[in-house]
This record gives sequence, structure tokens and C-alpha cells, in this order.
Amino acid sequence: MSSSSTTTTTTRLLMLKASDGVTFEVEEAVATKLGAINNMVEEEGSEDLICLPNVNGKFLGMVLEWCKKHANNNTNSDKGNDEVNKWWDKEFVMDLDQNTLYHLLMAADYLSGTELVDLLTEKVASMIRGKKVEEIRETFKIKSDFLPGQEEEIRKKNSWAFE
Amino acid sequence: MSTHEREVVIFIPSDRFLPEEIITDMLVRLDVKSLMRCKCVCKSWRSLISELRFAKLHVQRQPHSLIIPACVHSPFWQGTEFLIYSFENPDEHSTYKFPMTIEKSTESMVVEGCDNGVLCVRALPHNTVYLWNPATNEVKKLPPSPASDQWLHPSIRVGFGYDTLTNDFKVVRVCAQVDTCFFGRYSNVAVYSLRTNSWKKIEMPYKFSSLGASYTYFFTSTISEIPVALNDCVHWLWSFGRSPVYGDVDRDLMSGIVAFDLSTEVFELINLPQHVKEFKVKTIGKVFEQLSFVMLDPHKSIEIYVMKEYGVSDSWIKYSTIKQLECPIPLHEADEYQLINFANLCDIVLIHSSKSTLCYDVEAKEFICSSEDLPVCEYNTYVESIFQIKGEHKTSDQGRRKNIVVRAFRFMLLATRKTIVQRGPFRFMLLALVLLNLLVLRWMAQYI
Repeated sequence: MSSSSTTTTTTRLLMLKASDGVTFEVEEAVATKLGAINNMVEEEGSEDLICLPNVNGKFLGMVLEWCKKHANNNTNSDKGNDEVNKWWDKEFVMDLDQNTLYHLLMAADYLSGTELVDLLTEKVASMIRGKKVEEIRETFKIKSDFLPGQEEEIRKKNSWAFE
Repeated sequence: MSTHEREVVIFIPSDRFLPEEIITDMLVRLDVKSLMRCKCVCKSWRSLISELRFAKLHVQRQPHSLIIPACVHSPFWQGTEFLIYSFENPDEHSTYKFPMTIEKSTESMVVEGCDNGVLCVRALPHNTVYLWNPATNEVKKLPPSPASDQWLHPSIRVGFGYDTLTNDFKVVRVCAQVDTCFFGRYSNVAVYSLRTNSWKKIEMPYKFSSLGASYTYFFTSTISEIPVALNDCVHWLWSFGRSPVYGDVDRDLMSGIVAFDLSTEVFELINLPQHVKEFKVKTIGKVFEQLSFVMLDPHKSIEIYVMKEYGVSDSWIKYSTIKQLECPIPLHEADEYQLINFANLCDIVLIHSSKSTLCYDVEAKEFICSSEDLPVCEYNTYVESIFQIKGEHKTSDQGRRKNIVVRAFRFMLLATRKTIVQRGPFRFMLLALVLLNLLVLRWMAQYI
């Protein structure tokens, strides 16, 4: 555990304050996994309290949980850890409901957590792949706004895709 | 945020929207079939997917595969079927049947090039050219070319690619013929643009006026010479000028790589290194996304050259030398070479002999494997795309584009005004700024 002892000497703690007032105390190395926070830290330097008015505490907590997992594994990267990470990511997105997925995605996008956005968008894409149009609409609660006949026209044009 | 002006998609919960970038990022991960279904979901999805910008982003995300004519594996002639093997899952393949009825007397179908998921296919011996997107099943038969081939033994070369400047698929057709009466050579050229759906005859520069296909290919190759597409240009290895046999002393037979720029529609000559004799060059291709060729010195070695700086003849370097000792077969037995670039994944040289085929990894500089029954055929890399052949893609929202152009113009004015005041040594800066602005504008016009 020599690596952890060296990090404690350099680790700085940051306070992140969510829109609902909930605060999180995280190591700098964890929080800077998020591009937006990294920028703030670099620009403002000594500022220790960062307010994030666009993110709710519940989702900020989840985002930070992901960051923690990935920041830790970055320090001692080997192939086995990569596998663990992938497995962990899979579990992380497995049972997300629509609402959480939406808010997480918005939070990750706002905080510029590129890798996390990537993970979540892939999850959303997997919910569309191979699905029928009706199923997609149902999943995303989208109402068709086509005029009568318009949809039929598109279907007819690419009938092979609907077989 | 100004970048999220357009609220595209209704997403959970129903009163909220996801920014367009995220929706785009999500949709570009989908296969073509799923995308076609997504077009039916709602208007905003349909318009997003129909945009040219989307098609470009989508094709960049797609996995690469290999497309080969099906007849290679079948004892029966099935000239209109093609197999597509995915790199991610090489044990499986999908079969695509060419969706148009072709002339009965067609002997074979040759893939002349593949760009952005669209194949350029030529039916032999009629030389009818088709554009075909296997993923969307769209196909188009090109009108007959004005560059006629009424004489005997024409040597026709077809180049194909996507012109990123005008966002257009183009086909160039060069017909080199031997005029049997005068023993002269003659060539005519025409360029097809998908956007205008028409051919245009163009002039061949004088130095190429008696262009012929490289003798190496002309007489010895059994496969068609797929031109190399790079930097919006297509490249062939050609010889030109008259051979002394025909009694023409003022010009010697010259050779080199001839590049045709799809945007400007101009031919350029790229010289080979001075010491390299054309007849020793076996094939041209791409290595590390750079122009390259394979040269054979019989009994001695095989050499692979790479052009470090595109278009600069002095920048050719010998990347790799395969000595006779390292090569599992005697070099003089090799009769066919193929330089295949698997879209940034790897570059290999296939060396065929009558008994076996060797596979050489260019980057690692070693032979990887060999096989006794790998056929000699055209191997093309392919990616699925939703590029349209019939009808045009929408370019984005005109309003949004105009807005950005206006803002850019204002920025230009502001920047130039400041520099004009200072004059003197800043004149160069002014020039540079204007140039930069022009570049920025051009870049934006392309992507937005």
C-alpha cells in the first residue's frame, strides 16, 4: 500500500455543494475526473468549496461514486483492473430507471465527465438497438408527431428495416 | 446555453429535453437498421438522422469490415453476391446480393472502391458502373459515360471517392486505348458527380496524354487494380509517354503514381524515388494512412516504401526490407502482391504464389501467417453508413448556420479593425488573421 501513503501527502480535499445544499467531501484526484471541476480547480486554485447549482445531491453522489471507482483504478492500472472496471460499469448502469438515467446523463454532461457520458449514452443506445418503433416510443415516452400517412411513407421506403 | 438552442427530443420525464449533442452521440452508435426505425419515432429524430452532418459522424463510429465477392468461395458463379466480414466477429459474415438486375452477359462484378459505406461496382465486360450502399439497399446505375471506348482493347480504370469539399460522391473513368492503326496511345477521361447525376468530360494534361496502365498490371495482374484513395484523391500506378518501340524519341516512357484530386478534378504526378524502376513496383497502397508501395528486387528482397509527406517526392522512405532469407518462399515464385490497409487497424502485405499466400505485418515487420487456400481477389474494407445515393441529405438548419456565419463575420471585422490601426509590422498578422478566418469559415460550412 505504498501508493496510498504517497497520495495522502499530496491529496487535497474539495467540498462540492449540490443544488439542494448537500455537500460532498472528496479527494481532488477523484473530483478532477470531471472536466468541469478540473477546470475550476486549475483556474481558481485555492478555492475549496465548489457550488454546483445544476446538479441534485442524489445524482452528484452517484457521479462521484463512479469517479471514485475510476480514479482509484487509474493509479495502479493493469489489465485485471480494467476487467473489474468494466464489470463494475456494467453493474452501475444495469438497473438504472429512465428518470435516474436522464438526470445522471445531464449531470455527467454538465460536469464534463466524458467517460461517464460515454458509458451512459451507450446504455441508452443499447435500449434502442433492435427494438421496434413502438417499443422505442414507449421506452422514451415519445409521442409520434407525424401527420397521418407520413410515418407509413418512411416505413414503406425502408421496409427492409421493419421486417 | 446557446449551444442547446434546438431542443430536439422528448425524453423521460416527458417535459424535459436532452441536448442535441447527447442524442446525436447516442444515435451514432446504432446500426443502420436500427437507425431506419428511429427515423420513424418522431419528427425531430427523423430530421436529425437525415442530416449530412449526422451521416458523417455516424460512419466514423461504425466498426470496420471486409467485403469480398462471394464467388470466391463458391464453385458456382454467383457474380452479384458479396460477403461482409466484421473484424469484431470474424466467424460470422453477412451476404449482400446486388439489388438490381444486371445485363445477362455480365461476366463479373468488380468493386472499384468503397468510401463512406458506398461501393462503386463495375459490371464487366460492359463497363456499366453502379453506386450501391449495401446497408440501406440503395443502388443507382450511372448513365453511360461520354468518354467512349469504341476501339479495341481499352484499358479502363475507374476511381471512386467522396469529395469532402463539395460533399459529393464522384467517379472518375479513364479509358486508355491503343490505336491499332498508328500504334499510338490515346486516353479520355470523364468525371461523374452523384449530385448532378451526370458525367463531364475533362482534359488530360499533356504529359499524361498517352497514358497507359502500368505494364506490370496490364500484363501480369489477374486482379483489378483498385486505386488508392487518400487525401480526397485517387491514385494509380501508371506509365505514360511513348515507348521507344513506337519510334518516338522525344519522350521516354515515364512512370509514377498519378493522383486525381476529386475536389479540383486535376491530375497530378507523384514521382517514385529516382532509383526505383517502375516495373519493379508491384503494388501501391496505404501504410499508416500514408501513400506507399511494394517493390520487388527479384532474388534479393521485397521493399516497402512510405511517403512521409504527402505529395513531396523527396519524402519517400524505405520503411521495411524483407530479405530472401526471411521470406518462407523463394521470391521469384511470388506472382501477386496486395497491400491492404484495414482502416487504421493494421497494414498488411499479401504475397501470393501458386502454392500459398503469405501475410506480412508491415508495422511489426514480420510474417504473421500463411495459408494454402486464400484466394487472390479484391479485398476492400467497408463500413456501414446511411449515406444516401438517391435524394440528398439535408444540410443543417439554415437559420442556425446563418447565425454562426454572421457571428464569425463580426469577429473577423473586429479582429481586422484592431490590427489595421496598428499597421506596420502587423500587416502580416492581418493577412494571417484573414486567412485564418477564411479557414474557420470553410471548416464551419463543412460541418454545420
